[in-house]
Amino acid sequence: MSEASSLPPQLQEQLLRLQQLQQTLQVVVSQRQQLELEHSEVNRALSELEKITDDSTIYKTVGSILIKSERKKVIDELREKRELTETRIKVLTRQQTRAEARVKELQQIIQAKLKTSV
Amino acid sequence: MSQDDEKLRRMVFELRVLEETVNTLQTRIGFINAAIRELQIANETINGIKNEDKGSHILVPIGGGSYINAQITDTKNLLVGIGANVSTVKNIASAQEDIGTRILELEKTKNAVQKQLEDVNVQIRRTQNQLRIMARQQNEGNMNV
Repeated sequence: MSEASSLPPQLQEQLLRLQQLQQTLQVVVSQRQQLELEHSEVNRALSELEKITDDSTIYKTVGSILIKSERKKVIDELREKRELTETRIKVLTRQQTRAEARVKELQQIIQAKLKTSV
Repeated sequence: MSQDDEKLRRMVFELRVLEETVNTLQTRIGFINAAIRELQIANETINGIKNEDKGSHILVPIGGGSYINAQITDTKNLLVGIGANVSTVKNIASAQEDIGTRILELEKTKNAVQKQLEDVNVQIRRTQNQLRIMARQQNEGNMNV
C-alpha cells in the first residue's frame, strides 16, 4: 500500500486537489509564456515594418506558402493581434495569481494537517 | 510522521522538481542551438549566392533528399522573415546584418540559460549531499535503537 493511501481520506482528497491545481497552474504559466513570446514577436515585426515604406514588398506566410500583401494591411492586422494578445495575457496573469494563491493556501492547510498527524 | 521524515520527503520532492528543471533547460538549449545552426546555414547560403550571376542554375531542396531545378533571378535581394509570419525584402547586406544580430541575441539567451542550468546543478548536488547525510544519520539512529 502506498504512503498516501495511509493518510486520512480528507487529506488524500486535498493532496489530489493540490496536484490538480499545480497542473492547472503549470498549464496557465506555459500558455502565458507562449503568448508573451508571440507578443514580443509581433512587436518585433511591427518595429521592422515601421522602418520601411508603404511601397515595400511584404509577404505573409500562410501554411507553407508566402502571399504578397500590403504593408498597411499587415500593420493593421498585427496591431489587432497585439491587442488581442495583451488582453489574453492579462486574463491569464489574473488566473495565474488566483491559482498561485489557492496552491499556497492548500499547501499550508495540508502541512498543518500533516504536523498534527505526527 | 516524524519531522525528519517530513524533511526528507520535502527534499526528495525538491530534488525531483530540480531534475525536471534541468530537463526543461536542456531542451531549451537544444532549441536555441538548432535555431543558431539554422541561421548559420542561411548565412552560408547567402555567402554562396551573393557571388553568383543572375540566372545561375541551382538545385533547391524540397525535402526527402530531393531537389528541384531553379534559377536565381535576383542576387541582390532576399526575402527575410521579420517574425509573426511576415517577411520583407531586404538587400543582402541588411539581411546578413539581421541574421548576425539574431545569432548574437540567441547566444546571449543561451548563455543565460546555461548559467541557470549550472545554478540548478549546484542546487541538485547540494540537496543530494544533504539527503545522503540525513540517510546516514537515520541509519545510525536505527542501529543505536
